Amino acid sequence: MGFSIIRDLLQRHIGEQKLSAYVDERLSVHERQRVERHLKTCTACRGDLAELRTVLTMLKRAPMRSVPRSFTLPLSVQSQQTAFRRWDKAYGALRVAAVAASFLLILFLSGDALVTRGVIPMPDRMPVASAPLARTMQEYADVEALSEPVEEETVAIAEREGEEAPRDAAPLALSIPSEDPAPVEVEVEAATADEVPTVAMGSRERDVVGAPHAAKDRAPEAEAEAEVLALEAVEPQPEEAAGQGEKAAPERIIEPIVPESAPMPPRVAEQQIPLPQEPTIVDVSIAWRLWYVARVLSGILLGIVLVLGAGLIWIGHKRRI
Amino acid sequence: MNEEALVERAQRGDVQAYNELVLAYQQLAYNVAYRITSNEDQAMDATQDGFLKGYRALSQFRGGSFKAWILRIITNCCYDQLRRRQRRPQTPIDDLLENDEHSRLLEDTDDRPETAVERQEFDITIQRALNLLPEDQRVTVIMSDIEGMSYEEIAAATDVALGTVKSRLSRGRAKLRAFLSEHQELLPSYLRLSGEV
Repeated sequence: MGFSIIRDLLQRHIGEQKLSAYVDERLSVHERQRVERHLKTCTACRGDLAELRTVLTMLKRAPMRSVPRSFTLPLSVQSQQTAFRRWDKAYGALRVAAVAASFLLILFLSGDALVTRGVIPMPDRMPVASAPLARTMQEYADVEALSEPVEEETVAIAEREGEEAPRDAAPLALSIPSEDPAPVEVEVEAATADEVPTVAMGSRERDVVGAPHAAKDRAPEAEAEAEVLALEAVEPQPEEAAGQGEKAAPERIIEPIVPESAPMPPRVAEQQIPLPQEPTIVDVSIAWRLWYVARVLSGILLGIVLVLGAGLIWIGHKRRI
Repeated sequence: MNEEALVERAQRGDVQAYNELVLAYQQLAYNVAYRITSNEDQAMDATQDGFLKGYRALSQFRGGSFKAWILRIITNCCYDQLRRRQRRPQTPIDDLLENDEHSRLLEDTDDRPETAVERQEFDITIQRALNLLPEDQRVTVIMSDIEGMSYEEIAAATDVALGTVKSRLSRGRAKLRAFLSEHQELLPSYLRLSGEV
């Protein structure tokens, strides 16, 4: 007993929280005994306790105000409440719809973003991509066979002009229209029987097929080579693209331009438009485009639903507590 | 009538049953609202809004103390009123406390004129002291020390833990004690803080 009194004396004064709980009789028996022992010896804490009790007395004696009017509800509220409960059910359904719409919206938009950035490849991109180019090469071979006299004449002109003509100034060009303003052209250089024609792909030149005269005979080889080209062309080469400061067109359609009339215009090389450095050959089917448009439209619709849902939820929230 | 039975009837949409509950608690609700807002009109608006919202939200009442539940709604309405007042500041609180309209209710008693004035001054002093407290401490002190609610009821009405109620109460009381000891001249002589007992 004597030890606990000395311990209480050495302790600090009673804190506000403990004193407040003591007044409200919210302390445990052990704590209450310690407080009471301390109060017996500490004048300052006794003064604090007395002041606190006076404050509580004052608050209890604070005048109660009479109600200025009755707050009972009119009977008409009952019919309004029926409508409100109907709204409450609709509100619950709208909440679920809004959550579902949000999820779908995120799904569609993230899917679009991933496909656009190339993280997810387009379906059937690689196998289909080679087909148009192979077809192009085959058609080119056919066209060349038909327009042999013209080519001979063009070659003769080129020979007359000597070496002045640039190497890639080909007499026959297969232009590749695309969505990109800069057209992509696959050129086959005019050559003599001894020379090997090349397909110019920007700055790179690749051997593709044999002499124009043997084009028909070598069509299967051209097809195979075209496939290789298509595969290479689909893969972007960042160092070259960066060097040119141009972005390769994401989607291109390769279609041969078959000359309507047999004779080709002379000096076709002058009409050629410079090739982009890294053409990308990608198949864009109608189904893909439709699918993409459907996705975008769905995204927009879901966005509208989401905004409407959020608005309704907000209105509902305002009508609640 | 049994409160639970009234609540059940009110939950089925019976306005008359709900009005019986309103009559039982409107005095308490209005006084709490007045002490929180310090304004008669805002207290009336908050009380009316609170009872209406309570009726509409009765389906969400899951038992327990109806008193604590309805006071929680009314307290939230009071907070809305205070925020509205902060956005559109009108008359300062002190002016509201001292104007004639405010004191009219206090004069509406059978006391002698001197006693009525003393009561009015005392009421204004208490309200000024309460207005110094943060909202959470003010609500806790009002419910506990003016309305006499238990810790458990206050915890339910303010949606906090019992420990939070204790700490808010002790801090609020400490601030009130400091304020009232500085303004003893405004208090009735029998209620002045003496310090030493």
